[in-house]
Amino acid sequence: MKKFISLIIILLLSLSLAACDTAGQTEKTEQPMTSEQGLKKTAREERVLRMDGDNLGYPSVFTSSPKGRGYLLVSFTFDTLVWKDETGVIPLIAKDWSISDDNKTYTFNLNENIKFTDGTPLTAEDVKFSFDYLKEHPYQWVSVAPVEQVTAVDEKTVQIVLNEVYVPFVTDIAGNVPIMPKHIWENVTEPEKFNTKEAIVGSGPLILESYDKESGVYIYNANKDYFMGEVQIDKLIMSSVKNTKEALVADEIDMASNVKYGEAMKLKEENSKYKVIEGPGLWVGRLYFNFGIEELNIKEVRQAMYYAINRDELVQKALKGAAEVGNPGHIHPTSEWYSSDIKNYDYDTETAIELLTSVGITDTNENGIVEYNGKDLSYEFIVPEEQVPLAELITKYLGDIGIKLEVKAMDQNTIASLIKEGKFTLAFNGHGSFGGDPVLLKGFVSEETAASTPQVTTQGGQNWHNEEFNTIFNQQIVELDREKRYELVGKLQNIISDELPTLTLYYKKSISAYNPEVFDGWFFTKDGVSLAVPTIHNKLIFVRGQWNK
Amino acid sequence: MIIKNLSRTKRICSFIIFIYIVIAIISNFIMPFSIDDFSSEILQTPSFKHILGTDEMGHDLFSLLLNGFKISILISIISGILSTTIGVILSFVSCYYKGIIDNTICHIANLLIIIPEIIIIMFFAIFASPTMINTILAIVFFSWTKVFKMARSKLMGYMDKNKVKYTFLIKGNIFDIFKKLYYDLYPVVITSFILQCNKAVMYETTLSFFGIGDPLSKTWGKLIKSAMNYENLFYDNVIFWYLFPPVICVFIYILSLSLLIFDEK
Repeated sequence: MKKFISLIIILLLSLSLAACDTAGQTEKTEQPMTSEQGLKKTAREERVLRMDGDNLGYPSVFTSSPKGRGYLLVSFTFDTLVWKDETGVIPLIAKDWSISDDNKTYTFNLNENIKFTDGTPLTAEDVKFSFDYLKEHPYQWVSVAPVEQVTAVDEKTVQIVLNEVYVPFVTDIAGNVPIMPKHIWENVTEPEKFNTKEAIVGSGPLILESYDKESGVYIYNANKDYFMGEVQIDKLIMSSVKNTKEALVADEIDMASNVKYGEAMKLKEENSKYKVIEGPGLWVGRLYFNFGIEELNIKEVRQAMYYAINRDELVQKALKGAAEVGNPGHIHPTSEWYSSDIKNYDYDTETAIELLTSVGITDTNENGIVEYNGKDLSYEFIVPEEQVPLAELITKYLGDIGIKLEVKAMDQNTIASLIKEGKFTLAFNGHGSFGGDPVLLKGFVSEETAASTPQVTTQGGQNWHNEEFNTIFNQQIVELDREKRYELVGKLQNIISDELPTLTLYYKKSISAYNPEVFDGWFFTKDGVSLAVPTIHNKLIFVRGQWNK
Repeated sequence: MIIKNLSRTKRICSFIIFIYIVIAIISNFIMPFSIDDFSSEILQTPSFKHILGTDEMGHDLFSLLLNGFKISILISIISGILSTTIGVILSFVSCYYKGIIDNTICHIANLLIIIPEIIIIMFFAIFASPTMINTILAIVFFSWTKVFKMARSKLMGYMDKNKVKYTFLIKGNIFDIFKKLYYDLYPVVITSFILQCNKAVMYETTLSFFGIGDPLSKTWGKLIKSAMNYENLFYDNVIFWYLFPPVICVFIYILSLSLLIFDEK
């Protein structure tokens, strides 16, 4: 009896194996017939690129995460009018564009023969529709508020008229509004819930094959008809990986973008097989002041604190070298808008103490803490949990000049919301999208302006107020002459470096490691992909990279 | 003496605990570096200058470990004493007054026993301002229940004894009862005290591992956490002088305390 059963099992198994085999074969033989390039394709193995990535929601325009990386997933399937590579702005859907003399009208000529992945050609109507749609359904990633009107002049020409002159229009708006197929989206009234197969029909280099909501695994196929040229990979698999470095070395992934700085450095040292590339992190770490506290409104107090902080050591010890030292003028030193005409604060405890003394802040009761009007300068300092080493250093530095800090560690989101509500004294936090156009200095303007930028810099409660800064800011935002604008932006940095509405402590570095034997050519985008997203996930790599396996 | 009555294991355990306490007391004097001194070269391997090397900020790991003795044992003993005292006092109160007072205290204790202590402790420690005293208070106020339950059941048995009845007869107050029964309760008190010390160390280590409490205090839990966060922990044997020493210290302390109160018969 036993023998009989095992015989049956073996028989069944071998049958099923055979069935698998024939199924596989038929698929293989059928493929060349359906696709015209099939003959060429069978000559090569399927090119599967595996990357690490987070679970960022269904990658359609409104359903993906509002974070930068969420938008980049959208950008794989949805193209924009223009895009950026390592040199700056490049044409994408629009092959060229012209700007009217009053700088309010932009005319884009679209590329011929662009098709959405469902086969419909992309026309000027779709572009107009996309802008109008985002106007009607506000999109968290990009605001089209400065756009007054979009007209489709003919099939392949679009004219965009702005309310006001808005200098960063091409990079920040035209480079970010995803062009969506009108015939699909015109009937969608609740885009936040639109997550069917149709919601991911775009014109980008990749087509989503599947997304697993639970595990966050994205599988994309190449868009064979992509107008920019042949897509170099056939399949892209992005999944969350626990230990990115281990996964890369174990050959589970070919590209590790979430790798930690220390790990990547170690990898570079140990194993020459992998390439490690560094880029600007476009993320700034700042010390926030609550201006509701009287003595923090005194410029000299803030300056003294800045003098007392050894930023070089901070980067070395608290961040293990994974950052660049903060610039008092706030703008990233590698930015083209950076001005060196600023006040410098090299680590100098003596000067710091002198500054405090000059405004009458000294330790009169000899308890080791300095006083202002009889009140100890002792504050609660809130930091994100992972930044405790940084807090320890700052506590020591400020302790050296007689300012006492009591550190409280919290999670990042709590800190962000406390800062937003103004319920803090001193806080450390940081934010990304810190690159590109100097509209990012908007965070320091104390009144409404025309500029649109992600609201990452907002600080609640009483704010720093400087009339001169506001005036110059509003001048530069409409200044078209680059030279003149640079000069104005330089002045803004000078004011910031003198007034220090925030202490710029460091800028994160971004690092990625990959296996060039599989896929090579990765690059960091100038000012970050899209709106300063400091990662390596620029979709152009899929067209420009080299497959080496 | 007491030592002579103990078994061999218990003698070893008490010796270990004694060593721990001595280290804790003299730690300030034998620490080669101050704990807020991060001026050393980062990530050094063990040497004569740095017995356990340095961490990624330039702290001397050996000094941090010694400081862990101080804080952990201080927290352990203080919260052990306080929670045992609260538990014992409440058990006397509840046995002496009976009725509604007994019921109320019992209900509160039951309520606290139902919810795992560590969860309430974490909950309170998060919302309180991050100081060591608050951590101790959180541990004390939510871990007296077991002491109370043990002491109360023991006391209830004694309430019918003649000496207690006699005390009641001559209208003795709660202190008289306490005097009469203290020696009977002695074994329970010692056992619960050691148990509480044991728990307190575990709670403290857990709390600081989760980053609750004073984020700058250098305890074993913090040390374990920062070792776990160090990305290249598994290379070049770093794990042996970074992660293992604090883990071993916690482990031996808890083990010795537990063995000390085990009934071997």
